Amino acid sequence: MTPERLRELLDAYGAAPARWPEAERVAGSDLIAASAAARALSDGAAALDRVLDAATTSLPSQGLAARVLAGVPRRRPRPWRAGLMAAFSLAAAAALAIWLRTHSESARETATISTIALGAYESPTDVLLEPFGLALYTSIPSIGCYDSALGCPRIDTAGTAEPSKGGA
Amino acid sequence: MRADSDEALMVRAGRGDRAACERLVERHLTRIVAFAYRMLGNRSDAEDTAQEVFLRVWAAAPRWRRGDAQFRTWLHRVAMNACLDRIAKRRETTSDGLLDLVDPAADPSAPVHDHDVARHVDAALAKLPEMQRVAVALCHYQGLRNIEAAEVMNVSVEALESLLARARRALRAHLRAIAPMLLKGD
Repeated sequence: MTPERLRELLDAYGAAPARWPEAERVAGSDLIAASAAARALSDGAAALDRVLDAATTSLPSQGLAARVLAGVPRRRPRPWRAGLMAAFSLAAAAALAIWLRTHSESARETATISTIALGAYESPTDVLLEPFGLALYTSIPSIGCYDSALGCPRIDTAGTAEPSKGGA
Repeated sequence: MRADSDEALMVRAGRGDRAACERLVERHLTRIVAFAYRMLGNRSDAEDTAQEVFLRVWAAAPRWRRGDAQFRTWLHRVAMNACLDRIAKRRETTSDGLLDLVDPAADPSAPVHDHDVARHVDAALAKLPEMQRVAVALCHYQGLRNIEAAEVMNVSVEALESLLARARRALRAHLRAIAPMLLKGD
């Protein structure tokens, strides 16, 4: 802390270190304790502080706090907002119920149609994947499939095979 | 943030918690009236201004968020602006916006009584330019730290120190002129 900085502190904030910037309090106080010139400056600032402290103080009049609190907005429940929320809830519930009903009927119809469509096939679906020009049932033996009711091809040792027609 | 901090009370006030509003008034009304009185030099105007300030507090409370500016700094800024607005309106009707504070020491050689000291000081403060008066009011009378006061005034700490130093020099000169005995130990 330089004497010049101490003078700046005293000129701006007065003699009370509590009003000085916190980081400069100790150094400033040390300088005042160590220097008669610094003490003289501090005494001059303290004299002005004492006079300033004598200024009139105005306390709030009785009833001011009540008047200030009367300005607090009252928050009432808003009936229109509650009604709006209820209407939205009902509408959302109704929409969900209608959607579920429609969706489940549609799903049932789809399942039935799919079942009927599957029943129309007369050969295993593997046949649909059969590459053109390649006879799977004659070139690839069926291993582990012996039940003709499931559509397993009947393999005869004579070299001809064809799928059974019982599977769906 | 502590549950009873000003900032937490503001959040609660914004939700309509009346007890929080009461706590804020209890804590800050006296300080705001004192600040407004220091700025305006008139009790009635100071109380009207304090009411205006708290109306702005209630209006801002619902939008107050945790982590917003420190309440005390924000409140003083609102109060400062309200006082400066009022001074500007006064200026429209009077020549300089200052109240006609009675300066009792027309005769500097007259003895100074204790009850006169306050009026001398009030008169000297009223003669300061507004921003110097704000600086003295915030730092000397309201006890704000220099960083807080600078933030309220939206100036740098260096600029605040300059305002304070000029204000104290002016006060010293004015008081010496009207009542030399007040600063006899100076």
